[in-house]
Amino acid sequence: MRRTAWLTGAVLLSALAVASAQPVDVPALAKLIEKQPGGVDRATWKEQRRDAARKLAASRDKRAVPVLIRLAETETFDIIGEIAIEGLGNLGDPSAAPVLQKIANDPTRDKVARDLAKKAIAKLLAAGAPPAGDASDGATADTAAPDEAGAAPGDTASDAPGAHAVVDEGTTVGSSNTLLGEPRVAGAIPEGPALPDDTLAAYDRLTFAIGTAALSYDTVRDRPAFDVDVAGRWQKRVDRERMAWGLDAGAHVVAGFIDPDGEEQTRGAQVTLDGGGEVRFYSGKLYGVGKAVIGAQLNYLAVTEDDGDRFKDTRTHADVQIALGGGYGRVLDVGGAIRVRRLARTLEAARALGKPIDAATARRLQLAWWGLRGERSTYRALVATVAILREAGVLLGEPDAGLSYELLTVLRDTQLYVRPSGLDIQVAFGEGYLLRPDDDPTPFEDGRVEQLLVTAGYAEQLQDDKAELSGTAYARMRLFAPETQPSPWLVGATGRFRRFAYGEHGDPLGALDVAASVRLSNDGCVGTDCESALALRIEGQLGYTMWLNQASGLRLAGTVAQDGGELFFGAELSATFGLLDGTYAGI
Amino acid sequence: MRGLSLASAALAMSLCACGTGDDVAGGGRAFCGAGGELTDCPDAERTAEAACWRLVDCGAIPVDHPEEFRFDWGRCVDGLETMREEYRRLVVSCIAASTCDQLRVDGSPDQPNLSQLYCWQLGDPR
Repeated sequence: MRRTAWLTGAVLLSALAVASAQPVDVPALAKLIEKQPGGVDRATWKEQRRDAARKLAASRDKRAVPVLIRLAETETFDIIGEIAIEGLGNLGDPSAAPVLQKIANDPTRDKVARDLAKKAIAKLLAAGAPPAGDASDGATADTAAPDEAGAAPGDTASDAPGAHAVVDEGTTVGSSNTLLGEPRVAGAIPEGPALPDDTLAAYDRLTFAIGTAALSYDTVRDRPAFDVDVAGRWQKRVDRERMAWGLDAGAHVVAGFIDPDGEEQTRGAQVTLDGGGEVRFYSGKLYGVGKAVIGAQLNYLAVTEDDGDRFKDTRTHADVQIALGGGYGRVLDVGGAIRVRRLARTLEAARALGKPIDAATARRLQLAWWGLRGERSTYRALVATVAILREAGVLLGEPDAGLSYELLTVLRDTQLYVRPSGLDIQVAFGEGYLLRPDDDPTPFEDGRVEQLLVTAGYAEQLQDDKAELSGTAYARMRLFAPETQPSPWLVGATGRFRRFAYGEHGDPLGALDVAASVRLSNDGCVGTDCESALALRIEGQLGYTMWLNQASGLRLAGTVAQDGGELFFGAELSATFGLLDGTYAGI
Repeated sequence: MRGLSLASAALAMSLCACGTGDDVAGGGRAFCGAGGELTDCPDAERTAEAACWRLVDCGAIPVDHPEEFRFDWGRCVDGLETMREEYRRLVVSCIAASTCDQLRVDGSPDQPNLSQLYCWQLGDPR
């Protein structure tokens, strides 16, 4: 009995399926919709058109899609437009996505149409990519995807940006033409580092700087010379709700060898190593902080003068220090979050934003970029970004050439690195031991050093993230110094405003900045040859930075300063080269 | 090209209390010259002027000594600019990368004994 019932049900379902997918004469229905037949009054024709649209919507025939798209776009005063919108959702053909998206975001369309468009979009997404069958020849509308292992770039039906999924280092395969071109190899989108769920912001920076490296020799002067000045620094920081930690390590080597004709010769080397860490524990906005730093510098010098006199010197300095204290608030690097916001604005301007970028998608985007930070090319970042946005239903349809370029400019925007936001005030007590050469004749700090450290920082992103206002204040004072050693102190503050410039299509052009600072200090020196003096410096600077690529740029600045009663004017041209910045901000 | 230097943004972001950004020069004694690594200042630019400012920042030399021919910021810049190129590059790099304690010598800041200033010793002996 049960078996009979099951069979009956199956037969009924099959019959329903056949009925619902009954072939229709698409060209004839399209013609009826387009042109009023002779001998039929307008009111009747209107009804016939609506019926024809309903039949097309139920046809599951791919050829019905362009007819319905045209109706959905143009019929804004008749219910046939809404029938078409709904039908496009039922047909599940991804080519309808851009039109539906456009309608959903079009404020000139009535609310019913917009809501229907949103529902249709949801159906497209939920359907996963059901092909719209071609009833005329029986072929499937689903463009066959190349085999992942054997496919070559360009094998896909679409070569549009975003139509490829990244599978391996430098290897791409065409994505199948499934719904919205969703990549088949979703797992190949870099996941980036594993950060705890409550991470507010994080970064990992590796920077190399080569000041100079020169090797020369000429037979005229017979003078070989070599000098090098190289430095590297690694920084990592993670800010979570209840705690934050950061690490920082660097190395710097300066070395030289100059050997002119004759006895004269100069050899020297200076190696500096330093490292530090900080940890904070939060209760609300209040926090306790602990810091530790170590540093060492080794100097070697060997000079032979013209007359044969020789001089050699080797010195070692080392610092071990800790600081404990408390504070309020925090300043985070929100560059990653700004990049996500710029993506959303770009999509919105292109009327391609399906829905706001939620926190989960923002996180996935930023971590994918982080995972691709070592790439020389932005290709994989763009592909991953498009794939993530489409998978999340934020970007519907293939981005055209113009939108692809604008997305690329956002991804390549160098002005989104180190963009602070927040308020942080901190008071700490430092305790440390400074190891200095025994024969150092100067009465400077040595041995145990205690000091009071106060810092405050504020930063805010303004004008749709195109401007930044920031400021710092600081003070420090040595405490409990012995009579034979100085007790220096310092207070100061700096303010800076930056305005970022962009081209018409989002190209980052550069940044104009204005800064001012004031510092007051006293070296608190001791000894018969020293008269402790109060020093005041007031400085203003106006500069323009032109960005070249990720974290690298040229900067031209003019400075005016008043120091010790003297006035100084200066100009500066500098170049910065940075790489491998990975950042995340969950706000 | 003397004004062109390659600096690191990250290097400018040290733990120092007096770090005011990588584009604001320091000045005045004791701005960087105290407290050890915990409060050390960023490297200076690789120019003669910036290297001499670092000596001032560290309290190693005065900004402007009232007596003529005393070693102050101006004479420091003059001294570097008269050195042969390879020597000047070495001295500037050395000063820029040194901690303040390495740069202060007997008599600093008013009457610094240059024979004790390690980086200056790397300079042109001519």
